[in-house]
Amino acid sequence: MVTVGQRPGDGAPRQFAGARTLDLVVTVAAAQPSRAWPAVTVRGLTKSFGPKLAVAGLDLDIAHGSFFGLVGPNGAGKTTTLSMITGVVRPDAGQVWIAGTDVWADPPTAKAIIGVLPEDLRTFERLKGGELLQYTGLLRGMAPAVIAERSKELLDVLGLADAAGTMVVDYSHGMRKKVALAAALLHGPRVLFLDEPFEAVDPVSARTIRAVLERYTAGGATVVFSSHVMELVEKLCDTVGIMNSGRLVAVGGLDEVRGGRSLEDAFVRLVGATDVDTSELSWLGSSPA
Amino acid sequence: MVGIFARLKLRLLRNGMSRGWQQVVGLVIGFVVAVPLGLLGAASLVLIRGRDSQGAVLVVGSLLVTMAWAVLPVLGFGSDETLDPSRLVLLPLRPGQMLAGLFAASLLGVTAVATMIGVAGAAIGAAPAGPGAVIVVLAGLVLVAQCVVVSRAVVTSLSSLLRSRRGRDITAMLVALAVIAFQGARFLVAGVATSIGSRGFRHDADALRWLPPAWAGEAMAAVTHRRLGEAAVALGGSAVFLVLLLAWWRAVLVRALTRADTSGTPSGRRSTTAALSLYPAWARFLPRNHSGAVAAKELRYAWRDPRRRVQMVVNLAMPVVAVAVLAVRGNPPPVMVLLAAAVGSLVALNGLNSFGLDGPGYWVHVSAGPDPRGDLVGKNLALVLQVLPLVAGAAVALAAVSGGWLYVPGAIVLALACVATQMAVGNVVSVILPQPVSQSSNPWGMSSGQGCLTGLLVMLAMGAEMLLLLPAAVGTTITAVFRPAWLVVVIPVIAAYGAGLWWAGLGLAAARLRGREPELLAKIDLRAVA
Repeated sequence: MVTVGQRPGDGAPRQFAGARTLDLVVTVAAAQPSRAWPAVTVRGLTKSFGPKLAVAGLDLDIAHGSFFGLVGPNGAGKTTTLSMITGVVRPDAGQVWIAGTDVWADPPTAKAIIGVLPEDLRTFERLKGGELLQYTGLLRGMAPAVIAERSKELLDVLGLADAAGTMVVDYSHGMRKKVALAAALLHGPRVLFLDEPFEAVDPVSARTIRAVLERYTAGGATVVFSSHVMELVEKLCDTVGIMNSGRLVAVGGLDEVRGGRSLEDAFVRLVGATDVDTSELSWLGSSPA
Repeated sequence: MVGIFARLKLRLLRNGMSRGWQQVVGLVIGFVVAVPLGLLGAASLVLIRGRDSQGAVLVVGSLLVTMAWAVLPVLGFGSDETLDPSRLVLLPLRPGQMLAGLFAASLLGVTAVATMIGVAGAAIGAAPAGPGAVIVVLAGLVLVAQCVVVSRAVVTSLSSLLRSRRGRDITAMLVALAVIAFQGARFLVAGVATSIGSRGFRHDADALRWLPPAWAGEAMAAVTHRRLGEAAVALGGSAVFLVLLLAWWRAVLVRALTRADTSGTPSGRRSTTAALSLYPAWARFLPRNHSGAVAAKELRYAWRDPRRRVQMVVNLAMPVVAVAVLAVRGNPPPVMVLLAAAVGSLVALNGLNSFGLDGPGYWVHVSAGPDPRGDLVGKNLALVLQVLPLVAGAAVALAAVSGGWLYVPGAIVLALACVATQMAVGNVVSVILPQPVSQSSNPWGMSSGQGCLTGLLVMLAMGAEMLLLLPAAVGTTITAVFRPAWLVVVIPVIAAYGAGLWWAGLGLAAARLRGREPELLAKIDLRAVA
């Protein structure tokens, strides 16, 4: 188990070009977290589905204010891990604390301080974008006036103002990710979990999401996200964990894990993939059959 | 090309079967129903050989089978991958190759086999020895071909609409209503069956034989009447009709494959401030909290979710039918107004799987920090708000027919008591036996996942509801018959009984669900993490 240190360069938040101010998020996220505990603490987290061991005794600490990237090949257990940490899938064994609150012993308290963007965008698709945010806010016990104000700001910043009156089922993939991000940010969580936030998202939407996340962490909040896109993880994260077959095979500061190589090379070496031999495809690109 | 498409279709059928026993059962049921139907049709068509009505049956049958082929695949769109031309758009195929391949693929299926059996029966019944036999066989072939081509052309021309979310919603609704209307259709079919052989039926057939889809049947009919010249003309006409259908199919196929697909574009309606409110305009009084939000969402879903919209339409139709039946019987006694409570009771039977319809959306609740009691209260509130207008409308209509205006408030309170009693059972069952419901809006694509055991348990739950309602029903009936004035006392007692049961059921269900929300989500989310 490696304890991840405080984010390097704290106090000098990276500004992203084109980022609009998101005062609400910054204000709430800056609320004093319990510094005695890391933002996320995981001990011995284990889950099997039938004979398949999806997550095998995972230990992890994520410091407050860090931008943590969880990478791994398909089926490595990233989604299951995030689902267990966020209180959606019950672990077979192990414990999870969010800022010192045991997720599985006291779900309401833990869930009040986290926001989650699920990978498969499970939501009420027949609500309109604006209605979905209102619904999420009311489920979380927020005041109607606060919900209205924040929804408007979030929809504006995420470029969804025109689509607020359209049912989510009619949204494009990028729009769905953005409205789900808005729902995850609405209550100003201190820790944000994003499962593949950039998968199948167009570059413009990805840029918007990145801008919002940069702004969010600038206020001292913590982001944990999983991704296949190594370049994005390198660009955004200060700490990374590499998962393979339900285990963390490396975790630490970005430079420490990379060890002088690109993150992709380090990743490929750690998960044991080899270079692909394409010599048999000599016909490819020569002439059509 | 024909061989490749045929093998693709067979492969899809086989892969469908290897996906699970439900698909195998579906296919077997398809064969068990369709093939005997085809055989039955064929046998009757052989048996009516030489009867007066044979010609008329052939004409009408030819028309009906073509129409069925034109309509049914539209309803089944999405369940047969080979029907959607957009799946072929990337292949370097010429329209001619594609037509031949798709035609062959269409012939390989349960419906096609049943149709061919029926047509073969018609041909055997109609065919004489000699040159007439050739015409009959050719007419049979043309008939099968025209069925396949018309269905393909209709589906292709509508494919863009059918692929859109709105189109699929409309189709889903039509299918569900068609299933409901099936009850009515049975009488229609029975009527047609008994009228076969009558003079009127033959007269109708005379008129219908001028329609092109009936010409193949007309060719066979003419052969049975030994009018070979007419038969040849009708056969020629039907062949021309087939060629025209092929040309239409080719044109719409080329258009579907080369024109931009706009089916994924969101509707043009843009937001207004009013559209941003979760609460429907007529339900603004609902509280702005967890339960209120759940109730508002349920009310929105009652109309927007195609599966629930069908239920809504049925719910609306029920009181109308009930009142109409009582009114037609003439002079119902005033106390009949109390029957309006039964309308509420029937609607409340849908409350046995409150969480199943949420499906993956329930994740939002689990993730936000669940409140089982708030969820159930909200869902119950929405059900009551849907039941109340129906019961009130039915009660007022019955009062207008019977003059029993005094009973209207009693009927409404009684309905609430019944619904409360049923919700007590419904809440507990929804939590203990949550059923996954397919999110697909195409009812044919639904795998309800309900095994026999579950179906039995649901029946048991309904039985429990009825058992708990029994004291209310018996009490009301006895009082209404012998001492109507005492209803003023009896109905409030029943209301208290219902409220008490609801409170107990709610507490039980909420306590059972608390802390087990992730397990509930795993049960109702078909895409659950695996």
